Amino acid sequence: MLSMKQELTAKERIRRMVEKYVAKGPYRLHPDHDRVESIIQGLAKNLEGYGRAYCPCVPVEKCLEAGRKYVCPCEPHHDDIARQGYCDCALFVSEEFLNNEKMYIEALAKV
Amino acid sequence: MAIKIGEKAPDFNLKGVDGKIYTPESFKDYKILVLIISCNHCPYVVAYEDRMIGIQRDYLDKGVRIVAINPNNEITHPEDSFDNMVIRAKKKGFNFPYLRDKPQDIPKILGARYTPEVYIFDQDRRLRYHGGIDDNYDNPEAVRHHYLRDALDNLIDNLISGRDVGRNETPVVGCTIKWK
Ligand code: SF4
Repeated sequence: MLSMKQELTAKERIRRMVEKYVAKGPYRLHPDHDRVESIIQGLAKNLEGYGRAYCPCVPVEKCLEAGRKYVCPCEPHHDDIARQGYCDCALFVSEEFLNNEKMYIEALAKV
Repeated sequence: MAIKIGEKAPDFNLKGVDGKIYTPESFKDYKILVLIISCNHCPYVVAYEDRMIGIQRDYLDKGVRIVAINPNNEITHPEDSFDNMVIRAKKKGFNFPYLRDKPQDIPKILGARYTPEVYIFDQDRRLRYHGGIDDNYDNPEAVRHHYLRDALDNLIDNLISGRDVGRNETPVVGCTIKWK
């Protein structure tokens, strides 16, 4: 019999991981749904292909060489969010970035 | 602040992988100019490279010139250095100019944030489309909306009929630009 872990598709597993991580705080999800979906798709593809949720914004050869470093949530993401407000893929963002981004999206919608 | 639909294309003076310097004047013979903010290392760009080559091939005789511009920080991402751009362009056989924007001016003027991010300018070099290449980076066979091709088709029709370009903003997926 398949375990619960095996029954879930790679995409579902990634989605759960991402939701759980955001629920834990302090980071938030990027407000652009298409962006979030594409990153989840990229993470799921790497999970299926390589057995680990390697960052979709880093070449996979580099991920394989670096061990755990680029498995999501990757090692550099805390520093990246502290510096620029978003992780390298812009999946996880700071509260401040989220608020600015919402204002940006609203401003664009008015144009 | 980002460039808006209808606004003029930025001026630039950038070195290509062939060693030549390119300005907007270099592309004056083309009716449509497509600027794609791009790079070497981003797996989304890599997934799209063959499609970019295909689109340039299919639309060249319709007066479309694609120009890829790499603004990424080579200190944090050495794969995106000029020398590596030359290697990449050769390896893939790029049929469009691939330019280095080390000061990162062009994405700042455009308001670009990701790679690949597409901007189409008409013959007056006014922005007519901003967005993505299509709606499935991972699997070209599963693409449902060919955003860039559709926008080019609409714009080429528009040059003849005077109609609007159609959908002029679409979602952009890709890696974030690596700022200095
Ligand atoms: S950059 Fe973001 S999405 Fe990519 S692995 Fe790191 S935390 Fe995950």
